[in-house]
Amino acid sequence: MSPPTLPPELLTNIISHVDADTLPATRLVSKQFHTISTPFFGQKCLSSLAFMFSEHSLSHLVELTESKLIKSEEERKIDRRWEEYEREAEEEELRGELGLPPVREADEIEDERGDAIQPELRLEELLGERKPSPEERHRREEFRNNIQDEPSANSTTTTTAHKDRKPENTLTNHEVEEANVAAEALMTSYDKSKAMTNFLNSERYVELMSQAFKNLKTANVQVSLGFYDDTPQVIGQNKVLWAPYRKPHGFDEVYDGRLNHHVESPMMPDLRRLMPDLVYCSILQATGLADLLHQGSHSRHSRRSLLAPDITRGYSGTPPDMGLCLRDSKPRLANRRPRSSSAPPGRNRLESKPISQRWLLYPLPN
Amino acid sequence: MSSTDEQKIILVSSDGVNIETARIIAERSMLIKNMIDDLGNPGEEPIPIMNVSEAVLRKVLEWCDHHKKDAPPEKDEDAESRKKTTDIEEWDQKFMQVDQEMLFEIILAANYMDIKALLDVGCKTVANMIKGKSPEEIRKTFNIQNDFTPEEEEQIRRENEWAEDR
Repeated sequence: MSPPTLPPELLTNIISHVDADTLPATRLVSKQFHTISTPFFGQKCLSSLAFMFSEHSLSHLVELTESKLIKSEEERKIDRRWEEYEREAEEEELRGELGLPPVREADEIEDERGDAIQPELRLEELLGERKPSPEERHRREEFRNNIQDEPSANSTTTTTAHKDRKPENTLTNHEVEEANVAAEALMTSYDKSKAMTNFLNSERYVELMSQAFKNLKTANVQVSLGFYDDTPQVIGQNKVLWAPYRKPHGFDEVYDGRLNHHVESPMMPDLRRLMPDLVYCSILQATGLADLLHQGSHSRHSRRSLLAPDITRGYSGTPPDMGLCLRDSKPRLANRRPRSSSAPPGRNRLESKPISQRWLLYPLPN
Repeated sequence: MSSTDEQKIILVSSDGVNIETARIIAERSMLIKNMIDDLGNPGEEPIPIMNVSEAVLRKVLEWCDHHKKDAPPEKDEDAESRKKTTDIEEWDQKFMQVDQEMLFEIILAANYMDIKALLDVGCKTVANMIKGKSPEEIRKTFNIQNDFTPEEEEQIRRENEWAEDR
């Protein structure tokens, strides 16, 4: 006897205990395993994905949203984080106590009717503006100079290996080999940062994201979308290090695994300071193109007033559709129970805590 | 211990063997508990356990004996917590050190006899056998045939890539 001979419900029970790291493997065992594992794969492995602003990463986002995976029923889960709605409910209670009118009567009525869930997108954790340190400014300038030149032209002048180089005839073979490897790595780094800069200048990220959002909307998938700078700067001894808390999809493709907790960043794009605004604006553009409604308390309250000047200041391209940002919509509460006198304040607005599905977009982490 | 718990009942395995056991042990099985409740005269008539052989039934009763004092499971309350961990008690781990045939027989018996805790231990044990293995290793462990075409396999590998950077 083996798992395939077990009734499907028992095999499902077994697979439900399989950890997220093994689920990709179980999907490849057989068709039966694939069918049973895939919903768990969706829940455990795809419920919180992160992408970065690179062609590779965002293309994969589009591929994912076009795949059968995202269109399966199991994946049409909604991020309805309990705490946020609870906070929302408490705010409503407070408004009531203070005699203020409800934020959106219309939405309230729709919610009470238990409307079908509409495709929407929630935006959270928006970043403020980063001010570069003098050191960062210097490095940015250096980077800018380097990136404007041909790699072959600057490779002999900018690598650390070359700076410390002894006269040519005193180098050992090993040293030459090391220097070549370092130079090659640097050239690759320059090539990639050039490609990245071109990608950012092309605004193809808006195209890719809007396509992904359109796909998600078509599939009636609700996502909670945030953007994060998870690679904060760490100032070390004469070094600026970067500590990626979490690598988004495609990170290693860009950095070849070089950027880690102990490695100096190979690049210093001058776009870093502008990235949060650029990312935010592009999300606005892309969601606008996909006709998705922004939801979430962050954009509804304090954040909107903070964001608008940042966007204006930080983004020099096409002005974003501010209407998207400022639309004062309240998240619809699906499956909401009617208020009852016995339920505690703020607790009676949701029926159940749904499975979280979060998709994150990271700005370029250096 | 109440006198009800000390009562003896007789179970009949699928291969026709009578096995006497204490009611408190047998009632870890919701199937048996419901049958006793329905029959109303425990101990007087043997209870047939149609789908479970003597060897497996004895093994299941061994588990029930060890866990006879465990709190009865809540209906749905622990469903989520059961899913959250693959931790298995030390005694249960040793109990489950049996050949694969017996392991799957225990799982089937636990399912049939409606012993949720034992079913979970069995399923977690199999899940732990899968943990960390490659597809080929899983196939080899459980003697499973790969029925994918190379194209299907490639497609799934591509989908799996999305989860790599979690």
